Amino acid sequence: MRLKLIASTPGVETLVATAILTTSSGKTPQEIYGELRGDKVRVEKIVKRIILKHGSVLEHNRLVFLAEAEENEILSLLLANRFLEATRLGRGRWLLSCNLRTLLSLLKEGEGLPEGLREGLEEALREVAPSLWRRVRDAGGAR
Amino acid sequence: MRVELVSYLPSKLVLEALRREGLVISERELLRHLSFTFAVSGISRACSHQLVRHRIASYSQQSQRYVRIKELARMAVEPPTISRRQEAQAIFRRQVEAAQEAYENLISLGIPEEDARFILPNATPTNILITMTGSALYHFFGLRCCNRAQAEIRELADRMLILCRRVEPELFRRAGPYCFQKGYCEEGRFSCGRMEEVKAKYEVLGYER
Repeated sequence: MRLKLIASTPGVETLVATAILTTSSGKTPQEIYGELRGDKVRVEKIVKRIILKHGSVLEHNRLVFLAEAEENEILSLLLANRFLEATRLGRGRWLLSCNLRTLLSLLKEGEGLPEGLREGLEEALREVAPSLWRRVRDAGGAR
Repeated sequence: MRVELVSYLPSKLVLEALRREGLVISERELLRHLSFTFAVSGISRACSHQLVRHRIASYSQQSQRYVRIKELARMAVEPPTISRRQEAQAIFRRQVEAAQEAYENLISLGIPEEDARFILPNATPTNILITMTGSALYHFFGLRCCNRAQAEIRELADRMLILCRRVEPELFRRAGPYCFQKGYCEEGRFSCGRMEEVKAKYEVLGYER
């Protein structure tokens, strides 16, 4: 399977940080997002605090992939995670999308996933959420 | 109520990438792969309870365990049916003030916020970050833009639809209550009976200059 990230929600880590502070502060999400946008250092500090198993704050985004895969590979993916969306585009070509929570859950699955999937997901994570990627890597979940 | 579209995945990013590969996708399928994130503040807990029944979505809501409610009497969300009638408004406000007093008294007795909040009314304001895919939004608008929906969540749905139409005018042209989407009303004997008026509203909502 070959996976290529073709589009994603802008400012993924800023949204993760906004979600974290929305739940725990008296400020509105508009105020929080306004303050965090453009403040990479603060966003990274907040994202580093996240407890990875409390995953709902990782859901405010979308990553869209173009995949070259066999039908059975897509089926195994859909069975592994029910929050993944897939559209057949043509023979062996698929559009796949998910949010960061689903992506991390797929990375955690490890064994039994189609070959090439892990590399594509890790690359996407590194591109859209570098602080989170470093945390996952340091925890042994990414190479 | 304040509603802002803070981020979204633009359709053109996906469409351009597909075009470069000589691939196409239907609008209906494309909607499943796009997401829209809204910052919403000052809605009632009654409204957020209805909102989170839409389960194909993501929510991060202000916690009442970690955030102490301040100025409840001033900030409480008052439905227009109550505001319009002086007598009803007096009953409502008296009750909200009593709830605020009870909440503060419990806190001052050392009761933690997570337990003192049990006294708070549905009118208590809340903040929430919402993310939905385009297709989930179509369903949300189908149910919540309908005249049968409660006024506050209908206002929220209308505002979200306007924001979607501003950034993706073509993709959301057919979005609105189900009578607008399908051409017929599904509400049976509960129908508002004003389908033509509703359809005319959603033809132009968000497109006016």
